[in-house]
Amino acid sequence: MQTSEHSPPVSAWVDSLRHEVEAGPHPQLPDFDPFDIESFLPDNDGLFADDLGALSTGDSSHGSSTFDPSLQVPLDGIYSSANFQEDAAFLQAAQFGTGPTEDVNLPPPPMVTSPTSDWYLPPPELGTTLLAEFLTDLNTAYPLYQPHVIADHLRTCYAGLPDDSAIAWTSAYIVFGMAHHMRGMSAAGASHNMEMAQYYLARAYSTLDTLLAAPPSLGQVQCLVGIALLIIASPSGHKKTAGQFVSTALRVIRSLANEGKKINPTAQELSDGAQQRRVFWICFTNDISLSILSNTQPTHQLQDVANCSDFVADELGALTATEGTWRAHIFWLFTRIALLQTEAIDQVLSRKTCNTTSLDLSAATTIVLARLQAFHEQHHIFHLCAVQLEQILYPADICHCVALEAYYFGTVYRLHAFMAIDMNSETNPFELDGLIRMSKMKQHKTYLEARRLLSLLPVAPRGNVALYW
Amino acid sequence: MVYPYLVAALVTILAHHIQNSAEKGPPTAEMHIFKQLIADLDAMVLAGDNADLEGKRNLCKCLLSAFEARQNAYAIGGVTGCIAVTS
Repeated sequence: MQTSEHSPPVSAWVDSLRHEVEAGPHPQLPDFDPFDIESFLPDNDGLFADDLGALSTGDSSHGSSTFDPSLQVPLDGIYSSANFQEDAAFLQAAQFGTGPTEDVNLPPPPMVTSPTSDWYLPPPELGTTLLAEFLTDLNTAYPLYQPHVIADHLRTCYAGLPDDSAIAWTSAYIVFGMAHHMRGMSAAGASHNMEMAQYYLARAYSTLDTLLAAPPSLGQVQCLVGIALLIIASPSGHKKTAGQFVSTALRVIRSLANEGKKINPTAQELSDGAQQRRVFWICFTNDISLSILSNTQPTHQLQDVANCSDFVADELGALTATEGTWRAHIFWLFTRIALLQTEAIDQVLSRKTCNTTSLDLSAATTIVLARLQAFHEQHHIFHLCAVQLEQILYPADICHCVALEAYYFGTVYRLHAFMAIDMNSETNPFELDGLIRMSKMKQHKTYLEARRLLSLLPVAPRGNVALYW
Repeated sequence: MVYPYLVAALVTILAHHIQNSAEKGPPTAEMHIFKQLIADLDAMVLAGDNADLEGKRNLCKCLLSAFEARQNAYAIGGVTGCIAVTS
């Protein structure tokens, strides 16, 4: 990635975000008490007490020195449930990831902070389940975390470490929040999951003072973009804040990438570098899609990321069929469409094209549209109808297909709208005024693309769910 | 956050049929999708304090009503030409 010589230091952008957060609206905690353990188990038969007991009845020789005795919950005579033993093993399992876990000082079983603490974690069995659902349903397509890294973050939190572990705690809240969003989109979805996700967003927000004061790191970037994803997925009317988080995250990770180049990297550094690239692309795809929707300048231009096009699809970021060998590298497809969106902005929609002649703008629009069409025709996933998607994919993965199709439609629609509305890029065809103008047009060149997008909705989660928000 | 794309898609389809009412309308199954999408937007308006979304939902409802009125008029051999859409 190239850097602009005169761009402000990344710390200035982080400070700016800190001020924005201080001055702006904060997500409110929902009007319920997650510490009310009855809400987790309507037919409380003691199982939850088993789970809670498991938190403090483990082998004290395993890192118990990290526990704050004041937070210990007295649970005489209560022993770990079999389920929790499995969960604890899951949190410690090497299969979680490829990274080294043996050198981590594991403190099993974990410890929850007391209900009077500002910090909250769900019971470990629920926490483990939420982590597994996050990894399976979201992280597979959208590889925000290396599994062993996020598992370590959760271990840190369940070990009851103090509040200065902001990255671990914020990451945990992000994972739990997003997992609740994914649950809300499942067949068993309920508004309770939206409320829980909102709860974790508010909790994550409360860590920002510490998080933004920390030195730049990959973990910090993951937290910033993770909070942005929680904002985007929530019913909040303050979506613009998400753009500020994403933009800052993008600047920080770009700075890290430029600083971290080594001539002979170790295997660990290569692995970390690969994850850094994935997180960069998550930031980048969100930055660009928010720019398309809000009609604002993206953080980067195409020339800034021109030499990133060697990003290759790998195992992280792929959707696999429920049966058979079919797979789609959905994350890679998101990165490709983000590059096409960047091209659309740079060549057509950007303010820097204001001096370009109509003829040249028309030609540029035609070229980008042709590239978008070729992209759509080239990939099999775009040729599958709703019924086929439902037959091939797990329900959670259909969300990613709908989002990808929506990004494609949105980009084509944006370019055609630009041409239809007198090549005036200041009119946003996603806003109400722009929509009204578009509705009065005789010719709608994205009619087929619009039908294709809406045809997928019957097999996707719908309504008041994260996908729609 | 796909609802802005979905709204744009719905506006595109309904506006196309309103402005080109001589063309065959969408099949029943697609009409069901459109109505369900508006019901989804209703649910979202109820769930969140979002005036922007409410305005877009109202536009979609207005367009759907205009489209259905147009279809009915066309079916009984009446109106041609365009109608204005306001919200």
